[in-house]
Amino acid sequence: MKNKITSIGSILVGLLLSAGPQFLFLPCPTTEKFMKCFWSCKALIVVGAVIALIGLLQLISKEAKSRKVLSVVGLALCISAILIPTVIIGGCVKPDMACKMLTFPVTHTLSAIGIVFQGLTLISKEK
Amino acid sequence: MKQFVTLNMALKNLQRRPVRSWCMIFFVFMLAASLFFCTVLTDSLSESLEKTTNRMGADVIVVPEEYEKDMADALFQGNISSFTFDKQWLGEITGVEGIAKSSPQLYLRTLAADCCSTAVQLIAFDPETDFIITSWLNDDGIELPKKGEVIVGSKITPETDGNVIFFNKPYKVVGQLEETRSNYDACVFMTYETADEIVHSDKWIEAFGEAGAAENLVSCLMIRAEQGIDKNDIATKINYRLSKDCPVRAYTMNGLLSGAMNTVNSMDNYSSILMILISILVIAALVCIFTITINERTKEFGILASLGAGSGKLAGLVLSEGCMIGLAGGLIGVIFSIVGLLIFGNTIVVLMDIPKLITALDYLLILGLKCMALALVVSIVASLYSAWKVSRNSLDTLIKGEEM
Amino acid sequence: MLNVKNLTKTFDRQNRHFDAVHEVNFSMKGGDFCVLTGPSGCGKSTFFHLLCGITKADGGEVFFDKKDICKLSDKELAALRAEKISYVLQGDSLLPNFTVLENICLPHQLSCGRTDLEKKAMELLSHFGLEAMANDYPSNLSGGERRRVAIARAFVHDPKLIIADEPTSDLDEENTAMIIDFFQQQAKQGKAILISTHDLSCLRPGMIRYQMEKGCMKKA
Repeated sequence: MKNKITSIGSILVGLLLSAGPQFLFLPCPTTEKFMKCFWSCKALIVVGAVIALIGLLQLISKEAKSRKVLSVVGLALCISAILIPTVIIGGCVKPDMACKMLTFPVTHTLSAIGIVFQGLTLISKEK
Repeated sequence: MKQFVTLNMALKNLQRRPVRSWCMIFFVFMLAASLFFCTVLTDSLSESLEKTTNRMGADVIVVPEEYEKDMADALFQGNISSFTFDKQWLGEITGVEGIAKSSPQLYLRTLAADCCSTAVQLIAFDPETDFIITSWLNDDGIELPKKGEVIVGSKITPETDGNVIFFNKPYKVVGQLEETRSNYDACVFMTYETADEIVHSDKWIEAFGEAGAAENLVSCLMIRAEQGIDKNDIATKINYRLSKDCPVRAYTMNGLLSGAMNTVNSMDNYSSILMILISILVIAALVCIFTITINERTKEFGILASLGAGSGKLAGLVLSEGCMIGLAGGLIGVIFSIVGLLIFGNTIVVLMDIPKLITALDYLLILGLKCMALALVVSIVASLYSAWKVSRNSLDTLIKGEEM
Repeated sequence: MLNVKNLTKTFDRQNRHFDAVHEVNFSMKGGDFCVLTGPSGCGKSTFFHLLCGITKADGGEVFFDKKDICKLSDKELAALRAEKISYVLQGDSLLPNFTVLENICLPHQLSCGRTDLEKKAMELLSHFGLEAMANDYPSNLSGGERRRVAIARAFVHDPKLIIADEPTSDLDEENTAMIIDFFQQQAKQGKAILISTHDLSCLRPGMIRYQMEKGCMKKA
């Protein structure tokens, strides 16, 4: 049961990380020049999709060991979802820009939830 | 192992009743999280205000009348401002008794090229009369900047070649001030000569129009009072001497920041009242849950008593459960708050229009420990009544499972 | 080992005094297996509570190992129950939040700090055929199984006197026989056993039977 909750949770987190910045919590509008936040959100599409895929594999996987291996990859991806908009690519500098105000705080929260789900899978005793 | 048996039993009791335990943990979590947030908010405002006034080192400040609020916002909030008045008005101030030192400053702003390079506050000072910025430079062991050179605050990152570019022209960074956690960390300091170069650059004229010689422009005049002289007296004397058509007024530093001070004080009061109310509510809720559940568990205590557990050990069991709930709720509350603060700090700052939130890890950890201690105390206080009832009740009543 | 003289306990019910236990005299020694019979409400449980120091007597004396229980402090009484007198409560007396093994060991760890009981507890569980259920919670056990666990808990710390209030009530013949056999075996090893019952069919040769009626007790 716990495995189902964390797997489905990871799928949702991954989907929201992918699609959220494109449709729900939009970053700064693009003008003629593409800003850093635009590229960060593009990178999050891929990272989020892979997190969702890992969640799916954990859901259908019958072996605890393979779920745990997947959770290590999931953890790394969730951490990179935080690092992409902060360190690796970055976002806008001004604190009142949409990406700083809404998009990245939400993606960071989703990533933190993802880390909790993957961490729970890693330490789970469920067989 | 022997000494942990009470804790072990308390933990098992909580684990086997997850709904009840999580409900109680939730109440403590709310208390710890709200205490943490309120404290960070009020501490941040107080610290910004204190840092601004301490670092400023001026007692009285003369600014254009209609820009009084802009000046206060620039000092307290770090809002970037650019206003000037003609230096000629300073002539009316000279000779006022009680002034130890006075020095003009010029506040200029740069342009934000786009969202990725934010506008910066430029502050020009007169090295001959200055008693504020030169003292910071002395403290940090930095030489006075020459023409075309600037000193930057700790948050400004120079280009790789050690320059900063304003209005398409590079300026050499000759020093960086140490972090003060005040708004000055995001400012650039220069002498009037350099400022003159900036206001006469083509880009500046294109953006803000023609300006006169920088040496004739002043944004504010910083004044330090002589030892033992009342600052209010000096401000009153200056304002009395200034002619009616004069566009500037003198304000004491406290007067200028009084709006912010009032906000901080009332926020402090509100948060204290809120905290007391929340603590009372949480204690009441926990007392109710503890009392109800302990009443339902009388038989359990009766069984333990019939097997030789003394009243002190039974009370210890109840108190241990209270402690664990307090620790768990406090820990979860503090972790959530720290993570939330780090993630949403910027959003809170912008939405609430406050200068900054303190996010230094040492401060957050110490505050977290304090919040956990309060959560623990509240839980122990809430479980004391039940513990007392369990230890005071006759074994007969406990064994029969009657309501205590 | 146990000597009771003129033991009396009075309760108030609807403004009237009545003696739940009236001037009872009773004694037993190690190896005795005494059975107390009598109708419901005749004072059996109150008598047991008086013997264990759970209820304070209004008159008389209870000597256990030459010490008057009635004069002991609450702390001394708790120590006595933890070490020398074991009491099996009427009905279900397992702690719902602990496993079978924990139910047997943890209360003794709490009351007298004994941490060496796990091996003995497993021996008792296997004697009762419950070793496979050591890690189950009481809610997964039948009534008979729960009663056997409670009895295992009463014996695990090697007390001198075991008092069991209706240990066979609501149990089938098989379970009743298993429990009575165990008591007899323990009595033969020198323990003093005192139980109450409604069920006269569980009486066996060698048991000392007492009859209680309206608070008065006599040898049957």
